[in-house]
Amino acid sequence: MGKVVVLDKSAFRKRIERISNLPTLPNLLQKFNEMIKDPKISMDALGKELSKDQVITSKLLKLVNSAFYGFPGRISTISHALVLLGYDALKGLIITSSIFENLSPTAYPLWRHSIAVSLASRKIATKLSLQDREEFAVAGLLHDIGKVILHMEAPQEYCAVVDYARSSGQPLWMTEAEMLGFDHATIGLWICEEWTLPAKLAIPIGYHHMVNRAQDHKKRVAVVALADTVVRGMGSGAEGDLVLEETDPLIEEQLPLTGGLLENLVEEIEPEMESIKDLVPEDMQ
Amino acid sequence: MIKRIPITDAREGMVLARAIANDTGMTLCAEGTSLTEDLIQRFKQMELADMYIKNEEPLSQEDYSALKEQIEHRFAVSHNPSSLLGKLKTVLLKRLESQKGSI
Repeated sequence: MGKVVVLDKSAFRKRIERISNLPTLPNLLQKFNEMIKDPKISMDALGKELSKDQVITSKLLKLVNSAFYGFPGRISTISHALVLLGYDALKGLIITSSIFENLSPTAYPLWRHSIAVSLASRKIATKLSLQDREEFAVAGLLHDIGKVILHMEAPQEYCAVVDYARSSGQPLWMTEAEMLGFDHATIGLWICEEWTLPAKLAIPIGYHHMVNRAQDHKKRVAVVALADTVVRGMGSGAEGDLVLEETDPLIEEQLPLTGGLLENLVEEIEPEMESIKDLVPEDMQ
Repeated sequence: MIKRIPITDAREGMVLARAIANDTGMTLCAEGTSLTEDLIQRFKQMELADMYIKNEEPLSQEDYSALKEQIEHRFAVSHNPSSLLGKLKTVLLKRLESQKGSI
């Protein structure tokens, strides 16, 4: 029988807000935010401005070229990064990587799962010729960020939730809602609000388990939900998420998964997943 | 099955699963090329970070059974083969089957 471990929702929400104000926030994000405050600034001008700072340049390039982001190829300039990702995705990437910093080893499977879903999201977007594929990649990387927050901010409570989900066979997000009063997708939405990430990134993060409730950006939600399903099906679920639940028919309504596409996808993702199987954050240094 | 390996793990005799191209997209080494020490050195000089190689080792019966069981467990709630979950399960089981060695 599951213990009810209700966390005070508004108190927890306040803790999320405090995270945004942590002094450990990398200069990178602060500088980035300052520079893009000017709504009239062009990508070109932004690129030039950011490139003036050697430290920013090297940190950003290291990040976009890291195995964490998994971009196929090499991005050699800030301007190139801005063209490929756009500043919402770039901002999202900076935020994700800083939240994932200082991860405890128990959360490594979650870290790898997020990388895998990011890779899968990009592949799906590519195969379906969707625009802004790097935004899909970043959404994939961010989709379970709420779980990371729970690990960090409420480790004992979250442990109890994961244990109960595992032993009862109930989907994790449902168990979270029951035992905590909210789930990791909701926390993901709070993070997006806190950091002013736009709806096109926030909605796939917030609705990847409740696909049919998304009012907008349904295609994006479908891509991340599909990526999550495929990755978990291939064995890279994070703890508590090992048994799959039936998917929402909306995924197939939104995405033309015609003959062989699933097979193709699995075939291409397989080697990527093999290569991140033993990856640890220290490898990123 | 295809594996992605860092250049440091490359060994003579490994077979490329995907072609290797230079920065401008020109193919240097086709898929199916067997690696030689010479090639590996050249890739290192080019600062190639990783490559995709073919891993044709068949799965043992034990490994096959264990992996099959894992898939069944993950897809335990899926009863309809034509649902998305059902299709995915079929794809994964088929791939596993193809990686099995002959008895």
